[in-house]
Amino acid sequence: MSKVVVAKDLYLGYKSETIIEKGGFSLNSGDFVFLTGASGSGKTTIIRHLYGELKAKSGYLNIGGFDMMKISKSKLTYLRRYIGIVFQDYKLIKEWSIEKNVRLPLMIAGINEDIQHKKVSKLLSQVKLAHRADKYPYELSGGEQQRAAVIRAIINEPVLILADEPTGNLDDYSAKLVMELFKFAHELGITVLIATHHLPQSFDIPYRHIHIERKKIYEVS
Amino acid sequence: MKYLKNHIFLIFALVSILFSIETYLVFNKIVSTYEEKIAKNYTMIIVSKTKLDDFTFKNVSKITQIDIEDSLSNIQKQLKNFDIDKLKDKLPYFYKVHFKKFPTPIELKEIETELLSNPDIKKVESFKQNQNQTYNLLLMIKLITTIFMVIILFISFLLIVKQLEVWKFEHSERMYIMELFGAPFWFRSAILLKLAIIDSILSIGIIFGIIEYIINSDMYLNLLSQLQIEVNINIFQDLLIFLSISLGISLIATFIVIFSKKDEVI
Repeated sequence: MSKVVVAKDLYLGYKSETIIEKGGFSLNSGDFVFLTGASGSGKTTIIRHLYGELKAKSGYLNIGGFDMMKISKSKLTYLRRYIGIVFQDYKLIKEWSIEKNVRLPLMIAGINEDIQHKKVSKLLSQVKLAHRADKYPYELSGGEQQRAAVIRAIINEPVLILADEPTGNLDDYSAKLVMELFKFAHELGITVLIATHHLPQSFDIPYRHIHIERKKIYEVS
Repeated sequence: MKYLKNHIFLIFALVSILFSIETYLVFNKIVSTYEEKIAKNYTMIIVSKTKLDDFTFKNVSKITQIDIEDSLSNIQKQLKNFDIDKLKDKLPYFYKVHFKKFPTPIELKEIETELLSNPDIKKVESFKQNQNQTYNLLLMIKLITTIFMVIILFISFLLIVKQLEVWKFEHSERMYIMELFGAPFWFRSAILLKLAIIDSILSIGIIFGIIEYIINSDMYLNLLSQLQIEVNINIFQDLLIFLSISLGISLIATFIVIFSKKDEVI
């Protein structure tokens, strides 16, 4: 099984503050991983380092074969096309329709426009959002927006999906629908890492659990 | 409507800049044409004991000898017994100095001093007072148009800065999201660049309309006829200047927004 993420002796943080000390973990291709920890423990910090928004203070971090300690801006831009990201606040482009928002990764990849529309239409129908395709994000409920955001992360079948508290703002029903989408991504063979406060009470696929406590990263199961 | 609301400041600033530059160019053209016209009518008179040969000065187009035969024959008619040939031998030579361009007071003084340094030249009449008044008036018009242009450029610059802040706020989130999904630079910037180009073209269109209206207005045509000059203003000849200024400003503004965003994210 190939490694998608390899982290060793990582020191992560902001300027003088260190959030993670000597952290290490790895994600294999197709893994489904929950990353838990208390508020401020460093879940978001890890996610931000994984998609290259922040650079580690020291250590070794390799994502999809790219050394994140030395990665150039152009290579980072390229790498991000193989990473799907989901945020707690959805981060949909407010001036664009839901359909166009979901299409974004395909547009960036330069996929034929007809194929883009077909693919988006199929996925939106699958998550019962086809009737909302022409609406703008502000016209949708939080749950609907997050489903659209997850579809956007999945649509070009990336190697890795990073989700930062994706159900944090949702009611139980919406949260369940969103988790179903992550399972769907897993079925497609995508590695999924979800940062969350709490593990779901019941989850019917095998998963790994990584926990952060006192600046250290532990593999729980 | 939303587009207009978001871009009105940039379009207004660009129109102001282009208008002030065009006004400056038109005024300069009017002043230059008027300078040429009064330069044609203006001459300096030289009185010399000897004939002047090989006489060259900067800005002097030609020197012609004043024919005094007519004046002498008039005298001869009135004073029948007068020996005109004797008078002719004693009279100095009179010359008119014509200029290529209306001379500045400094140029005029230089020519006058140099001429008077020639011991054969007895007198130089430059009609300095009249000349200076006209020239100072032209200089004042030039100065006013330059000040007007500088003020407009400054105010327009402030408007553009204001518009940049609005754009930064409006577009930064979208560009950030695109960047998260690996959008290359041209993809993230495409919308802003497109808007900048449209704003520039719109501004040029508006300024063409305004200038065309002004140069065909009765007020403008009356002014030219009062000055008795003809100024050919072909606004299409200034198209390249307009295009480069307008596109230059809006693209610089756009790149400031794009690059300031880029630094925040990575």
